[in-house]
Amino acid sequence: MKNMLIAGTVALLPVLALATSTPSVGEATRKDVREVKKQIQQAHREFKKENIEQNKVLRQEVREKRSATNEEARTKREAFRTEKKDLTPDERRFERVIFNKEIHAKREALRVDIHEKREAFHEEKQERRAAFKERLGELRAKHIEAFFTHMVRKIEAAIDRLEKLVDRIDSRLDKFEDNGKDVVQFRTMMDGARAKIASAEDALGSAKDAFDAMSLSEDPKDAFAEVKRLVKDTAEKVREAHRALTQVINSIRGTSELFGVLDDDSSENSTSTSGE
Amino acid sequence: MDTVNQQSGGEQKSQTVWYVVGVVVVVAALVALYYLVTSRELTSITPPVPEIVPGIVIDEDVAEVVPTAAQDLQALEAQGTSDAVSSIESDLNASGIENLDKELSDIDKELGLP
Repeated sequence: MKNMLIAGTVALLPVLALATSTPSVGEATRKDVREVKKQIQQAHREFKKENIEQNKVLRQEVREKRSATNEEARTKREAFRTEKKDLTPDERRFERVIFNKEIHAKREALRVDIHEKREAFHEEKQERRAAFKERLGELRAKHIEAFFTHMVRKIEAAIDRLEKLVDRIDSRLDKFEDNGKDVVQFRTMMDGARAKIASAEDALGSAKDAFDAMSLSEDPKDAFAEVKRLVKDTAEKVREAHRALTQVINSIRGTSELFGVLDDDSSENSTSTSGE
Repeated sequence: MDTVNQQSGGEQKSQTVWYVVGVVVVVAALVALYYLVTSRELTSITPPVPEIVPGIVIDEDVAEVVPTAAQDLQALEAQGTSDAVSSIESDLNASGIENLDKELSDIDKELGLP
């Protein structure tokens, strides 16, 4: 019996040695899966990098488009002022409606462009969440994505709010102008405010790109420092734009000749048609 | 002899009864414990119910994590349409843009940052 045990052990030794020196089929498969997973992650990272670069180009395009639209509106407004100066207020109002419709359509097209880009970011939330989940766990991934998404939605809503306020101020300035008041100073201030709003939207785009990059970062904590800096910068730009609009309104209020003449209840709830 | 057998049979019966009673008590205790634990878990994982605001669409996860999300957005979106200076001024003052980046500190906490 003892001899049989010894013989059996001796016979099994090479098998054991082979088993320990070569990986099992299961282990090999796991290695393969890990390797494939790594490759997919790498490909995803590369794709995201390209995407972020592409976003930068798109933002530049929007910037240029916006700048061209603003410039065009300014030139046309100048031309309108000179060409229609001899018209009666009623005639000028009529011409103004046609003029504003054209500018408004261009601005709307630009806004649609911006909104599409905004939605593209929100549609990628599942991918980002999955990427965060790998490094931070499911619950944290869910929370981080939700907090950031909400913050972005708030900033977008604030930018939209300022743009609507711009439309309403423009509409008021149009009325002043149609009644023969000089509003050149206010128009210049409005151009400045509009530029600040554009700058806030642009900064938000950079913050979103940084958050995308953070989701793929090996060290999300470290990458968040950059996201934080960019979001703070964006929020400050929104506040600057808000301050610029407040200054315009304060200046209009300060010009008592204008304020009080047209700021009556008859214009309440009038929908702005101004595009500039 | 018969008396002895009868006595031991009676003892066995009463023992079996006690075993059954014991098992029933243990099962009942386990069931009670299970209900207690699951009801506690449900209470602890049930998130605060987010308020539904008409016209505001909020992502399900966001509504769960930030219960005030709809109200935050509603406050930013609500404004008049009048171009009267006083109306514009009032909406400018009510813009509430001071806390746009408030959630950065929540993310800090999630990441375990100071």
